[in-house]
Amino acid sequence: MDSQKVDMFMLCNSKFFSAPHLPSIRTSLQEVDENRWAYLQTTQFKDPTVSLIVSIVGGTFGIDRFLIGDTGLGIAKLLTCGGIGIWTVVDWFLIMGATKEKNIIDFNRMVF
Amino acid sequence: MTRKKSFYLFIFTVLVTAYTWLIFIIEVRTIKASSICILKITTGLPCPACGSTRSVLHIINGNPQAAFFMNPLGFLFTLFLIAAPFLLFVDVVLKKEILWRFYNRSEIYLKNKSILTAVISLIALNWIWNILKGL
Repeated sequence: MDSQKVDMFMLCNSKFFSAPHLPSIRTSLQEVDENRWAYLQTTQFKDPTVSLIVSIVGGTFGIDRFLIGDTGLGIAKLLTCGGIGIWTVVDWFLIMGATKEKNIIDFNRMVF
Repeated sequence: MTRKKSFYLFIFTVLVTAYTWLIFIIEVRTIKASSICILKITTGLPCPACGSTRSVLHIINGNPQAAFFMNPLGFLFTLFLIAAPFLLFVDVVLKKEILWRFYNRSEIYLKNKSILTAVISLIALNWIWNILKGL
């Protein structure tokens, strides 16, 4: 892909991915075919900050897990009242990383 | 750490916490309405899982009817507390993936909108029942 497009993608979307993944994302984008650009541009990645806010507000009901697509864990969290509160607090620290992990899975699905 | 390893670590942590909580309840203090549920402490309303410890205790004491009327989720938790350690042991020792495959399969099933709606509706109904019972 054209390096200008790669730069533009990185500029707009780097906040959705964790720092160690960024070099590999850049390499993947450089190698990927030009026709993937339209898909990549329209892909909505999940915002880690939004997940964090949702986790703080609705973490007790597992809404944060539902939001990032972990439906099973969301139901488990809902059924245990946020893991008796412990899981809720743990997720305040983990949810941003989990969201970024989900985004990299989405990105890989889109690119490969 | 791979997703599978973190999943097994997570299950192990959940089991240790659950059994510690159960032993604490049985050995140290008698069960009371006052709970550690954040929602109940802050708003006074029970959460969907409120009463499940008491329900599990009723099952242990051989009173399934009382357990059902306390919170039907107690049966689900009892099943988990019995099956999960066994399956975890089998998976770790015999290098199988029963729990991991079960989790992945349930994730696929829950992607189905109608199944998810049914599950969420059941939980919501149970929650309404909990509120009406005044747990």
